[in-house]
Amino acid sequence: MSASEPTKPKQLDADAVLDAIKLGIRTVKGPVVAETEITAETCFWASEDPRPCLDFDSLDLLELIIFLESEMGWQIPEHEIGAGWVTVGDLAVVVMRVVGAPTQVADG
Amino acid sequence: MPALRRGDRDRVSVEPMLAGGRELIDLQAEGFYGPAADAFVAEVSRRHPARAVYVRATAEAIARHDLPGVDAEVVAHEVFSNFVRTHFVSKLLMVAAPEATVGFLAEHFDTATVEAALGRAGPSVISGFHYTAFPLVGLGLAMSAAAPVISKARFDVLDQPGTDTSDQIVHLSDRSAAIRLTRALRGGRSVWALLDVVLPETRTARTEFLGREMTVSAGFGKVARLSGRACLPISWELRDDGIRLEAGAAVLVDGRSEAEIIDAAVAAQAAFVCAHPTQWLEWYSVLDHAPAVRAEVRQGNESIWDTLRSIL
Repeated sequence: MSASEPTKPKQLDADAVLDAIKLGIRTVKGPVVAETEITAETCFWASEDPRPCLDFDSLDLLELIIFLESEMGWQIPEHEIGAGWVTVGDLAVVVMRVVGAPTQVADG
Repeated sequence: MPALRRGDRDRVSVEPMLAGGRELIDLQAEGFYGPAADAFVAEVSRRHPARAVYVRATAEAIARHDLPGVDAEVVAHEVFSNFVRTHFVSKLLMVAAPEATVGFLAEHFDTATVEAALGRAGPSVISGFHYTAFPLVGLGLAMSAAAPVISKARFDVLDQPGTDTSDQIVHLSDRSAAIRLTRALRGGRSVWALLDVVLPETRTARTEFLGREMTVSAGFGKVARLSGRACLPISWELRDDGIRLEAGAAVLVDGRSEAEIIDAAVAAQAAFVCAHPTQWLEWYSVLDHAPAVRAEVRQGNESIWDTLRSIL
């Protein structure tokens, strides 16, 4: 994928959305998450949640949203950003909703 | 001043700060500048629980820079007066006398220099430090033709729902704040950001200011780079005849890293701070224990507002 040729959102499936989000996370966080397995259950923010966590901050989120916009063509409305998200799967559900696809996201 | 009821008179007699606040509100726009607010400033200063901490930290920070002809202790006391003028005079009048505030800005705040600079640089991160009367300057810019999105560190007494500019404000405590600012810039709208305060739990960057290390928020460098928009340094001075606003040379993003953008935008404030050291309210930002000082000052502000709210 290149920044000059964004992919137009068409019919998406949950796996494709998850894969794109994972790619965005690895692009944003770089080597910090190189050894981290990222699944739908992985949490973005540090919290008391025992699940694996990416330790995102608001600037990581900015880069991820910009990545999804410019590389995938997925424009996430501002009122949806960060509102109640905990996991990578939560973001995938939001993406599926805003691009009009089914909201069934597999764990993995 | 309107006639006071007996209960009010009793309360005012033991609360000179409230009496001063009422007199200030009665002054309307004339309260913003000049000596009219001096008595109120003196009373708030006397009552402020963090005054000693603020003045001591400010003097320590100023002394580190060894500015020629500057007595750090004297300047630190003047800075604190300007701090009170900003957080209590400006904000009290902005809330209690909104029409007078708009009238004051229309008459005493000329944004032409910033609008001309934006005309050359295009939509930009309009960046400054926390100088005297910064909330008033933010409102003046929001009302101007430039109409930037205003980033705001904290909720305070100014956050009144339904005001004309409330939809222009982005609170930095919101997780989506940086995204909203970046999208505004990409969409062709400027944003206003003050660089010298670091909020808890936000990513920081180390830079240099007047030859000393300083910690600033990393966010504006990233927002500028991702939006591809310039930083436009501005500064201002509250004078007896109003607010004098200046714009510096735009810091273009082309080829610069985020760290280089931050370094250049911060360095652009140095000449103004050296020439007008009493105007910078956040001198203590250069100290390692700035977060602790800031927390104590903020708590002191809240205690003063707990009292002042009764006259709003």
